[in-house]
Amino acid sequence: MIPVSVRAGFVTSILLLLSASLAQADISHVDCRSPMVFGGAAVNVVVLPYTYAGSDQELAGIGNRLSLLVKLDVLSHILDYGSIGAVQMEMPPGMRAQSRSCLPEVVLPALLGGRPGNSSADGNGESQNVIRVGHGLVLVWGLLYQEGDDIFVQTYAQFLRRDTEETITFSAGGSSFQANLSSKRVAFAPQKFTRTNLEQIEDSYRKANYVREKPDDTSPGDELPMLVAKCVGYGCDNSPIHAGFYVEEKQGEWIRIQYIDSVGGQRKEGWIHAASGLSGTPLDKILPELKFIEGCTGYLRLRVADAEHTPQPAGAYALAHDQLNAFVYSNESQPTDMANAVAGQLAGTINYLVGSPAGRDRIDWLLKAADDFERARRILPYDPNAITLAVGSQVVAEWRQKGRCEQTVKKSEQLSTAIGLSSSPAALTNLNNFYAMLLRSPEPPPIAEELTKAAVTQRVAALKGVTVPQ
Amino acid sequence: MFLYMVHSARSIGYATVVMLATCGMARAQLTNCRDPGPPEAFKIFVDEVRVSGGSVPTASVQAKLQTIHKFLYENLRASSGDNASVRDCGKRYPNDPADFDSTEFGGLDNLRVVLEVWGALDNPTKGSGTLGFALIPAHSIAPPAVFIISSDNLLNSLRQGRQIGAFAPLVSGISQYQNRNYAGAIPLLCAGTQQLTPVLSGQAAFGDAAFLSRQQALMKRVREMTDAAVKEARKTQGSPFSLWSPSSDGTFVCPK
Repeated sequence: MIPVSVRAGFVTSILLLLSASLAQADISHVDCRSPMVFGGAAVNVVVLPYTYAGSDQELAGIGNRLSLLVKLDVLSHILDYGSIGAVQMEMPPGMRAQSRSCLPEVVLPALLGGRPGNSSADGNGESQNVIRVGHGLVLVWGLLYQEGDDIFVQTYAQFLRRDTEETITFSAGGSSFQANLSSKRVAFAPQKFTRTNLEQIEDSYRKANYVREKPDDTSPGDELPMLVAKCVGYGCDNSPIHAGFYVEEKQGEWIRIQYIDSVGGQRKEGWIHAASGLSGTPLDKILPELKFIEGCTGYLRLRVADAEHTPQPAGAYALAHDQLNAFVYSNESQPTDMANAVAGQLAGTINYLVGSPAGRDRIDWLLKAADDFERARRILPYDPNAITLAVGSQVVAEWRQKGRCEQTVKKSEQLSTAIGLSSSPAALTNLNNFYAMLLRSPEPPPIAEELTKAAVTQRVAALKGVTVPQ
Repeated sequence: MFLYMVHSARSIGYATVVMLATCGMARAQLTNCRDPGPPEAFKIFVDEVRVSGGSVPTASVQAKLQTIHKFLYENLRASSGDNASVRDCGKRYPNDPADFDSTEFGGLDNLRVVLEVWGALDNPTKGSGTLGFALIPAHSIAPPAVFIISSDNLLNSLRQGRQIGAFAPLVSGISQYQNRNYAGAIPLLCAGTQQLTPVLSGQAAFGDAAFLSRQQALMKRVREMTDAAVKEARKTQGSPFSLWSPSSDGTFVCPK
């Protein structure tokens, strides 16, 4: 039995860990029935077990192990973003495989403060281990299914900032245009695992599930803590307390961590083989969607920093953009995939965030943003947000480059199309703002591609009678 | 009763398309969905996946059945988004496409069901089987709107054909159109048209020639419906579709 004083100290340490303004923190083997995140982190990545509906016990276990490998691999690639939490949840042994506890629709509301779980309140009454308002979450889950000797893995992801829309505002010529991302939930293409891959997962799991004294698989170590203590009594909510750790540094495939010893309550250090891949093959080569998850984490991290006016992590823009592009490149076989479009929009937003401050040196970023958004629009030509993101980014890039907007007939038609396809009044505002910008601009050359001021005035009048159905 | 059976050796395996019009013949009634969901929401029913012939499956076969069911459920959930609620219908299972008679279609329509999907494993060892789906709102415009696709390897077909989710916005759009919500129908019809295009053409095409032919006919009807929906929507004062311009032949088409 853990002595009361040690237990109290341990619980305090864990609560500090959960709420601290940490750089990077991580926790594994969290019981789905007590979902948690690192409340102090700007963005949390939470990986639920990959579920397998069948009765093959080997595959059922693989689901938990794969989720740990995914979490650690992603973590090792997002450390540079800083203020990151990573959590892996699973079904404890003996829990019914059909339990709903690990379903995203059950876990997500709890992480957003929808139900108490094992959260504890800070002085302001806000739970410490739920996502804070404005902070980001990437929730990852998946399916395993068997097809002959092959196993297919399908990953899903949902991302958000709590109580915050993923709105992008474009400003040019005294006007602004707003649109949201086309989707915040993505189903990735199933990826094939061979039986050999499954054995490699077991091998990698055995390596990754240890905290070692040195960055060496033969170095002595302890297994990653499971449910390590239970707070019982006054002031406790009778829920399990989990062990988490800070990431101190990364060395190749290894991360050095600091954690609280579950028995003695003292601070300890160790190494985790986080990104060993599968027999030398990086896990994100087999599951390219991990690149999407990494880049998406970077996107959220940058948006949180932008909204809170805190410094951007150095190199984060380029890293996030590279990760998203790497995903799109590796997903070439699915050119019409929604995931490709969303990745393009995330990359476009990142480029726009870099390019939007004044300065001619930023124009290249704006042009890249316009290109990213246009590629997404081609995949989703029916989506009003995809249309507006493409048009808005083109308007800004042209305005900054040439001081005017071109192909205004086409842009007007595109924004008009978006109004019909949208149920948001913002679509109508966007077109009004576009016309206002044109009326403030010099008269364009008299060519078919450009709206004259007289034509714009006529369109403004016509627009006055238009309403967007709710 | 009409029966179409077609085989072809596409990448997804042999496919059989069976389409039966209803004829009022006596048959066992479909059991109700165990979880039909809220009355106001559009729904997609995912029925049981069974072994053909009604034999009792072994544990490993049962696992395969559950996997197919789970796969259908999750991918339809992902593709339907907020447009429709995907329901696990438990033991509900159409033994015969003719189970979908006018009464059944009417009942499903009243429940706001837009799509119903089920499956059968013919040869559990090989994994061959059939996938059935009924496009409820399409029954009145392209009857019978019940399709059964056969494959040498059902899971493989599902993996390549996860585009079955592309039918979700299409049928939701048809339903909205039939309910005269023209403005609400257009975005869904356009989304369905765009998403189904790669499903019905090229290397990744889903189903065999006869199936594709039927789907192309449906798509033609949907394009006409989109044009009609825009024209109807424009009759409403203040309609944003008054801002849309027709193409050179006077029809309205989805953005490209």
